[in-house]
Amino acid sequence: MCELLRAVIDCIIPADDYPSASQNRVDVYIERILQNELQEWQDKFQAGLDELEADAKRTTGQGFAALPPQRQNALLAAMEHDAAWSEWFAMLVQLTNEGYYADRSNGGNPDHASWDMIGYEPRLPPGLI
Amino acid sequence: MQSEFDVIVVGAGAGGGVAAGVLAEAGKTVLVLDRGRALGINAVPRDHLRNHRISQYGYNTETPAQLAGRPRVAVNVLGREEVVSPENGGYGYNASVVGGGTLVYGAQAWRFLPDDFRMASRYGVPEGSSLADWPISYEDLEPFYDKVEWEMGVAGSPHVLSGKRERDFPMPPVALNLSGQTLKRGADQLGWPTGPVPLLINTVPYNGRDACIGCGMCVGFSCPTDAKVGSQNTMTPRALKTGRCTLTTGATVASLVTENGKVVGVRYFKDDKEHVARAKTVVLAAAAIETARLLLNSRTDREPNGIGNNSDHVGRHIQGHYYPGAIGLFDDVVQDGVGPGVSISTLKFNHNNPGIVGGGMLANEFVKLPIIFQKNCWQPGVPRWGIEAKRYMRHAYTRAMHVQGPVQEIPSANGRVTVDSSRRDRFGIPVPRLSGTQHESTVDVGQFMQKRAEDWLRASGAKEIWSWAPPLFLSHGQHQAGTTRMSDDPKNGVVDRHCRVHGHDNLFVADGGPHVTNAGLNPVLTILALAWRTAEFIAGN
Repeated sequence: MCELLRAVIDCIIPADDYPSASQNRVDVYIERILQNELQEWQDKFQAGLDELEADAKRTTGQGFAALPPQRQNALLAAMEHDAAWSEWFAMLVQLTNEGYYADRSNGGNPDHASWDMIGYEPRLPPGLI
Repeated sequence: MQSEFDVIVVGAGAGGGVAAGVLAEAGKTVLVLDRGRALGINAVPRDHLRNHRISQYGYNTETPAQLAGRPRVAVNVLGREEVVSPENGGYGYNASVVGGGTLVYGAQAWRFLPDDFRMASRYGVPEGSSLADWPISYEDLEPFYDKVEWEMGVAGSPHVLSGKRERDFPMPPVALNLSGQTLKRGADQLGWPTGPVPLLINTVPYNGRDACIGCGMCVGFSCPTDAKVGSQNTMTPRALKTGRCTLTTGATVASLVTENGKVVGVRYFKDDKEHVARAKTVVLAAAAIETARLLLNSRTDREPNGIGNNSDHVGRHIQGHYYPGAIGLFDDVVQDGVGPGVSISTLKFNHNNPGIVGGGMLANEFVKLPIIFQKNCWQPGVPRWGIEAKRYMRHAYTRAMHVQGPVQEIPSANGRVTVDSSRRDRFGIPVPRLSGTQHESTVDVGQFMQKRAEDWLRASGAKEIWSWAPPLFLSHGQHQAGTTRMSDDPKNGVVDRHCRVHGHDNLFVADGGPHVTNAGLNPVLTILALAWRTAEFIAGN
């Protein structure tokens, strides 16, 4: 699950000169929110990852995480446009962005790298975050 | 606790805090009941996913346990009924905490305009609407706007199109930030008058508290320097300082207690036990939805459909604000991140728009949390994932600007709060049911204002613009108002011109409920001013 999840979220937010989703600990956020407010999504979220992995193996003979980015993106785009999985895909995008752009108390974005990237500063007094 | 108070105030939010402060200082003994907690400024988490701007996972002013077991029923425009929790937009939630919305709001401190008090006379009554004039005028309220501005603290400077003022603001306005400077150039080119957004924020030290430091976490959160002015750091402390005010938190009021039809107190729950508190006078300040619910859940032989409801107006005419808006993308950086973010506004379109009933204000927006920008400010056509999405965030966050404003809603008697006796909260109290919509002409006003927001951005140099206006729906939320309409004739409303419930000499409302109309402006200063006026009336009798 962990390696697969990291590969999937890195398609949603890839690395450039700022961290990818997994480099920004978005997987930690997703696992946490699925154990708390989004418990009812746990099985469905996992089912989408399983489907993606099965697709990868069926079409390439390899696991999703081992594929080159272009193949990964194509498999994800197929999920995005599949009526049965579009809701799952939207949730994947939502959770990845929440982990990436929210404050670090939520588990992702430990150094607030995404805020540096876009130019957001909380400008709070020292000691507060 | 003493057995009888002079006054019980239900709700320690905007109006309740003012009522308690004025009445306690006038020598009355006051009991304030609030179902929330009293939280210090740094006890409100700065969680970007749980606050009063983004709430799908909860709020920062209540624990999950506080939010549990208090559903409402929301009926959408197609008539579909849904049981909703406070995190849901259809619920119309307002912070349940000492200070209420004023602890976590954006603090826009607008006086309503003179024409806002006489909408029916000014425009006629659109067919099917319940548009009406207020029984009082801007001039009646002006001295109390003045009191609130000076006693609590408002920063601003007069707009050319605003009502006459006795004196200036006590504090200078917030400076024009970079987006404000950009919009000023556009407005000048269009010939539109502009002015600062008046704010209940200390721009200089005032009332013993510090000035705003321009942080990027204003609206939705408590102020890190306590510069934001709420009832919790002004009027409620003044009430408590007299020694005559008792503030009881964690207290949920269920109903009014009556004897022979006369109000003698309230029944409430605290620590899962039922209590009764008695008083000579009761002031309801629970916000428009909960105050209506409380009246509807208080039935007597004389008023079998709820106290104050013999003319069937309690809960009707509910209003909030439709918010049309536009986002413009500029070539250059137009955001400097200096909070609160709102700094420029125009009142040009609040009235005098051909073919439109009323109108609304436009202003720039608060500094956006990154995740809010990601959710709400996406340019149509840009992919939502992958490297292009990341580049969009990186490019657009400082180059995009959001202009929006509240539209004056045209009320309808069908947009209303009732109580659903088949559904109860965790105390067994029937829950509010929200149904109907505002009058459909409100949609036209929204679409008109959407175009004006586009005009402003275009003139200011935006290269790409996208915009929206709300479809017909039932709006209420943080600006909720209208459910205990003010009228001289008991047949036409719930409270009289002193915000006293018709037919009761000792029952008052001090929230947005008495607003006959809710202007195209944020309503809090009017709630505060009316509460002050009502409290002085009570103290003088």
